[in-house]
Amino acid sequence: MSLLAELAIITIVGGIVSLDTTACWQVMISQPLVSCAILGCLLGNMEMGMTMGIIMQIPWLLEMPVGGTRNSEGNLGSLIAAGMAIHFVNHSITTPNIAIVFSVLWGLIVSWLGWKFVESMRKSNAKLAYMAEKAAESTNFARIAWLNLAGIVYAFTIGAVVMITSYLLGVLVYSKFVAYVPEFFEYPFGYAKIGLLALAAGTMISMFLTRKNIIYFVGGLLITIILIFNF
Amino acid sequence: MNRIRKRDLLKVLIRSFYIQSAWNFERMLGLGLCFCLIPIARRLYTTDEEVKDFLKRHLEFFNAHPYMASFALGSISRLEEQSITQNWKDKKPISIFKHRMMGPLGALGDSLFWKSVKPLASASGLILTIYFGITGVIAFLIIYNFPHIYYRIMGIHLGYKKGFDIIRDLSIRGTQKYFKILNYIIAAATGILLIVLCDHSIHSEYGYKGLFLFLLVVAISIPLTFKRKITIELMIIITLILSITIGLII
Repeated sequence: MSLLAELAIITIVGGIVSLDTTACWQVMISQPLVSCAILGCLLGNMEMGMTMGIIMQIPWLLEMPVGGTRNSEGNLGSLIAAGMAIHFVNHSITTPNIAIVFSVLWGLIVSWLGWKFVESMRKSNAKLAYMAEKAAESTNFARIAWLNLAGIVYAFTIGAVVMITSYLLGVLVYSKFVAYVPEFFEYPFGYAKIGLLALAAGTMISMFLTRKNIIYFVGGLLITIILIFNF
Repeated sequence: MNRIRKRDLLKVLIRSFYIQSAWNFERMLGLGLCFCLIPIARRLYTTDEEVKDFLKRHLEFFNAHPYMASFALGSISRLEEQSITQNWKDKKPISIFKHRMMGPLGALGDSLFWKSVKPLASASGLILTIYFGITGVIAFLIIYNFPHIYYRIMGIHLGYKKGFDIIRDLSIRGTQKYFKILNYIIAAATGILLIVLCDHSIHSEYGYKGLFLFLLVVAISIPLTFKRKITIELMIIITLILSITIGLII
């Protein structure tokens, strides 16, 4: 697949993820487990997409989009991490584990920067609300609907721009970075995937395990052990 | 006699998927709520003055959980209709009602969806994706969206049916027992997830070394993620450094 086609896919999926995160629907296609798998399917490496989705899904649960809280854009960060990892693996690099670790780190930077963009979008959305008040004076229904639609266009654009710029920059930076990492690091870097899965389990335990429900936790644990041993 | 028709409520329901489009720090869902209620204004009001008052009333500050806002949309539609059929002189009760709805709708929605359904769907989706691939992703979407869509539809329906009285149905206290059950299910899912991921680590190319690392990171991450002592970005970075270091040692 050409870089241009990859960029087009990344941009569109990024825009849609940005929309689903807050602006509209919220049917959770923006969650890493789904969005990374879709991206993997479109970029021709579904397996890598799903691997990245599995790694990135749970840790971001700690950040809840409650009211006006300021959370980093984990969905966009995870998507860019998946996009880059797929790109590197598709281009037959010899060190996929190093590429995955780099992609995850790059995704963290994007998630932090992405929030800055979203914050600016939310501030400028206030102008739309003031404009809607003027439209209300003239009882203009269509204008109010268009102003609401403008918020959607804005959210899509932010997601698309963040994705395309960070993707291009990420690919460029990786080509410089990889030259300084010795190839024997490939094997130990593979442990990072297991570490991130452990973080997912740790996150779930710290969020939900209490004295009152520990019996159910142990029950789930024992039943799974029995099932795994039997099959 | 009801002036609002079913198709008006259907239009409100479809529009409710776009209630957060112009979310902002000053009025939050204000513009979105007004956008959703336009079909109701079109049905109920004819004079410019009435429409203007309606739009201004609903462009005010409003905030709620995006899915649970359906309850507000349904009940506001009912109240607007009642204000005409019962000849209310003052529409202030509608604004007061809206403000009273915000707290319960936010608290219920956050507890139900962000703190319960989403983690449960994520854990289940993850387990199924590990064993069955893309089926797990589809399962995640179904597990999450079944209650999501149900609440959106029921919100409009019940809100419109009950009007002011909907507030009684939306107390956290009344729903506590359901949350308790949900919490037990999530705890069981967490136990299952832990074993599934352990099994996944053993069967990776790293074998029991992988399992050792897995258990070590779980043990470290629990106290660190508990009550969010550090940011999630920092936690991921610590995990990566720890994993690679241990990978280099063993």
